[in-house]
Amino acid sequence: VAVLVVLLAVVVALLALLVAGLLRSHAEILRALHNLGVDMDPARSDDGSGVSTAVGAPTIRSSEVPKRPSRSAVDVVGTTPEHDAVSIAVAGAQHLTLLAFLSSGCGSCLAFWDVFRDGGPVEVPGDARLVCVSKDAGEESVAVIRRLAPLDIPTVMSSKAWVDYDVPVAPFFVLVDGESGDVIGEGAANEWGQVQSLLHTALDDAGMLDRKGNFKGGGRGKPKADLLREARADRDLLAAGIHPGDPSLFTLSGLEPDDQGPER
Amino acid sequence: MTDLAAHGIEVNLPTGWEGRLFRRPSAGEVNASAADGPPAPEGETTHAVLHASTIALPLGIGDFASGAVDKLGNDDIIVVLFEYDPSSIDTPLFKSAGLPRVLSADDFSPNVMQRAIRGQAGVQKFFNDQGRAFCLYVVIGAFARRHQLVKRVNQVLATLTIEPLDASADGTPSSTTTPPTSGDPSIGDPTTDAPSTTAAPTTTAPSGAGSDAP
Repeated sequence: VAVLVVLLAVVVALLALLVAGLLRSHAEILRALHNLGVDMDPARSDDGSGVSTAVGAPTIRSSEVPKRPSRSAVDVVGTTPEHDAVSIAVAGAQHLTLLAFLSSGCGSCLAFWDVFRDGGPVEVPGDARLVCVSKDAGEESVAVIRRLAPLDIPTVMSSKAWVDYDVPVAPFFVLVDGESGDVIGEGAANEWGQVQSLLHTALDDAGMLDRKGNFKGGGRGKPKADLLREARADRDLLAAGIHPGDPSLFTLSGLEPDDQGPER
Repeated sequence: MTDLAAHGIEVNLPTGWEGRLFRRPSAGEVNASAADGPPAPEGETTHAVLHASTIALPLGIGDFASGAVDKLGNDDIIVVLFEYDPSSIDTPLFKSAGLPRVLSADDFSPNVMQRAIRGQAGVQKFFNDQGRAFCLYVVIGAFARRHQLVKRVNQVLATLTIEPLDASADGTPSSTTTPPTSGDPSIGDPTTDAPSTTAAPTTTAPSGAGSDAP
């Protein structure tokens, strides 16, 4: 009996050690995820930022990445989902660029793909140029990325860009000032509104907002409203299957061809 | 400097430039998407197109950059290299051999534009290289600044390389573009013959824009 008791005690002690090890490992994983902005606590339905989430659903809070050494901008070079070669000028560009690092697999990324593809013109703080960046074809499904990619926002498949910008998690956003060539903000979020908030903070920190919170840098070319209106018109026409050169664009509705003006 | 290579064409772009090397989908081609524009009409085939520019290139711009040219600032440049059917090489239009690597300021003219835009100027050169037929079309944002801008154009042209067609086979079906209608032997100096335009009816950057080739 004494032997059995000792044996049992040993087994219990081993199991206790095992459980302790598992708990410690679990805690380290949670801590690491927390540092990346992911809250796995199922008891929290509100992260305190006013954003409600389903209980039990993994949540990526709006989270700036801890300050990292300043890094220089690098052009994004890769392929499009149509296998074209493409390079996006980031360094040296006379505008801000917002790189959205997205994957086809993560649930939070799908929300961004949807917003960018179907949500109408995307207003980006600082008039930054939005560019979606996924990993290479070897690490992503080209077919899925092609299906997810917005029609009017460049999508580049470039694992190198993920390395260049040291992307820790997806979705992840990096704001780059082309003129200075500096990364001026970066972070993770699970909603576009949170990204806009992060960008606003980054722009403010960079001294690019005036006292009223408006972007100081004046955009070149057409006013923003014109660009948004044009983008909306283009999107609607394309959705209706009307491409540039479509004969319907050259006729006046309600008029017979013979009624469309004097012959020249 | 950024290397861009596809379809047997390679270019090294200086800082601040961006580019895209693509081929529009042929009629009925699977995987066609709006980003490359609508598929070519039945019977027409497509070839390589290079767009390189100092501005952020919108998606779906025309082959000859309609939808982007109107966005050029005074110091901006668009370089287009458009490939035609190799069978066009024998036409007088493409008799000039070799990629023009050095343009002069005097090559630029406000009249060499698909659609005249106040202040802008362009140049167009047809040539053959490595058994392939091309049109080089360059637009600068300000004719008045052509002496400064041509240096930056030449900086890019100096890095352009074209491979023979066989060597550039990339697994995608070899295709051709509709032979240029301007390949009429009666045409004189081809470099002053701006591409006739069937460009997009708007001046915007229509996503999925089609070919604005002659």
